[in-house]
Amino acid sequence: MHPATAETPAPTLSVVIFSSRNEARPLEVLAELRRWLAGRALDHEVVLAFDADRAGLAHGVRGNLESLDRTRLVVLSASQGQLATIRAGVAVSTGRYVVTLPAFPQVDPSAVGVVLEALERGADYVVGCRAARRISWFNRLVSGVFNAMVHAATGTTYRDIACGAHGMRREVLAAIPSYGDNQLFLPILAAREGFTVVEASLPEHKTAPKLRVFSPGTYLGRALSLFTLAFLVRFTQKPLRPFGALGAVLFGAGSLTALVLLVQRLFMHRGLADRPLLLLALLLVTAGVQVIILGLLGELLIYLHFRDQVQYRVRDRIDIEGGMS
Amino acid sequence: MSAAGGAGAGAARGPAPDISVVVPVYNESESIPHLVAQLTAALRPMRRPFEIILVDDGSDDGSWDALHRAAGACPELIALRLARNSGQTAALRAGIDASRGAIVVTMDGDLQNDPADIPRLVAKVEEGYEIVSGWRRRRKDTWLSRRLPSLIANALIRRATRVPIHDQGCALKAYRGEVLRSIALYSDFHRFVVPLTQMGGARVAEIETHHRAREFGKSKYGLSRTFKVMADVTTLVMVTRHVDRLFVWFLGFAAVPAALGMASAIWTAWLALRPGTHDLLVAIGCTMLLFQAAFAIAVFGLLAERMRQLAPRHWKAADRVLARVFEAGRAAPETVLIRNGEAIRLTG
Repeated sequence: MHPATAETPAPTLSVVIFSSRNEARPLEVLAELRRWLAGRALDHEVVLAFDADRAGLAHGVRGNLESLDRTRLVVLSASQGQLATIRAGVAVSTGRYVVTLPAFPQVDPSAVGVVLEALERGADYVVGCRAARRISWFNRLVSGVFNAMVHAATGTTYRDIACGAHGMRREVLAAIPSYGDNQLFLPILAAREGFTVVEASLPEHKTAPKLRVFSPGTYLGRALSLFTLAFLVRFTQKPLRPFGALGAVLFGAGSLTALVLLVQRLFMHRGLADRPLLLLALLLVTAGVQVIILGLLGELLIYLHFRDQVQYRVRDRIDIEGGMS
Repeated sequence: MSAAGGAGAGAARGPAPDISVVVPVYNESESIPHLVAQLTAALRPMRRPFEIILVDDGSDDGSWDALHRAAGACPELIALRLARNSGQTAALRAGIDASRGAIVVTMDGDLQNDPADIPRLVAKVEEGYEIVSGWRRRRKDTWLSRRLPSLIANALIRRATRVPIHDQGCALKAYRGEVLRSIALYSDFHRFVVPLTQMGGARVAEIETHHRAREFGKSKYGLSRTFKVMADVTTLVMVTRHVDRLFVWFLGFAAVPAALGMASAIWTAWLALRPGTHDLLVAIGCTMLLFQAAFAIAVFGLLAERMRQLAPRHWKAADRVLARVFEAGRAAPETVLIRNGEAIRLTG
């Protein structure tokens, strides 16, 4: 969108401050960031990214834009959620490395330096993790439960899923599919594409709110994203395996029950017409068959749409005759 | 999942070799030097240009360093390192995509296949087959955990795909390069390269090959894969045999509950008409359940048919098919691969 020209070469660092439903203090974060950057000879730019339902906030910032050096603003025209806001911010940035910060005091501005250092050491994607957090028992509980659920669902071990401070090389975001509604999708998708994802311990902001309570919809939304994530990570390639296993269990339980009833009918002269268990047996069998067929439909989708897609990424190649790369 | 970088053929290389050997390796650092030595020992006496493509599927045991060292002594070696452990199918496909040989030989990296069999496989392909599969008639594996699952899996695959080879699981196989490179090898289908290829009309032969006990490392399979193979075979049957008439295929499934539902309806009527009072709830419930299942399966069939119609390309099972061209004045027919409406001549 803003290609780097000869006069304005791409900076080393772009900081994207994103403001969607739960982040509403971009100017504070920006001011602190600028104070931290002021003492450093770091070639940088700042992008403020707003979801459409934060357009009012963006309008206020736009009035000050003239006074903000090396700062760009992007506002989504339709409400698309956190991940789309971050993606928009990264898309209009130009830096070689991109660090994202949520628009409320979550981590200390020096966290940007920690993330940048990890990127410069060779990481493709950096996930933040707030060290020594001073938070209420409620948030500790919510965060503990949510992290545990994410670990169980995806097999990852990131300790602080809710930390909005992430860093990435520019090319990473371009290479991963545009998918999901939560920032958490980014490191998981990046790791699936074979990028090196590392976790960095970041200092928490000294005025970080001890208690943050969101609307029930936010919690529900996060829990639902988890289903999507678990499915994405575990079953994308082979839907018939989980569905087939579940269907086989249902079918087997139903068949066994029906068999017992049949044996009782044939050899013990116990009538079938007054056995509600027969209904349960048939229900299990028919449900099992239908679950297996759903798995088959999933396989059909994969065959029809993804069978020609490349499922690997070559990192290195040794080829003495043809030249090494 | 997205295309993030194919293996591509090395642009700086010379003319395409006659033979490419593709071997996926995963944590085989001990085997690699032996593997490369045995492969070159088997291939060099053939006096034909060849390349060896080893694909490191994200190993963490130093396999990549072993490949580096091996490459120094073997200029024909091309090594690819995948960015993460992507599974055997993806690793195999990476190697196949990078291969340029007129004949491509695939094998496992654990030295259980004997590279000395390669010249015989190649000779058999040149007799006029598109696929020559190895058959480990005398397997050196434990009976319960390896041979029994394999016997069951092979019987299942043979029955379901109607490809009459004994040993689908034998990784040592030789193919016409163009044929192999034209198939869509996806998901976890490395065990089914032969049925996938044969679907397009390839001629398949089988020869007995040696099989050796595992010397290094440990096996990456177990008994649990029988279930996976069953699920995969079901998918394979659908996509290779029924993808052009999905609705009819699903109607076949729906016929079973429909027939049982009819029987249940007759039972209900019989109960209702019999003298004496009877509780009809269970009988009516059974009838309704069975008809619902039949109806749902038929609707799934319609959905499947619609999905196929809406697929990006109008896939036909035979979108890649082999054909033989007969011409006056030519002794033997020429084999061509018809792909996307183009006839590709098979060389060699």
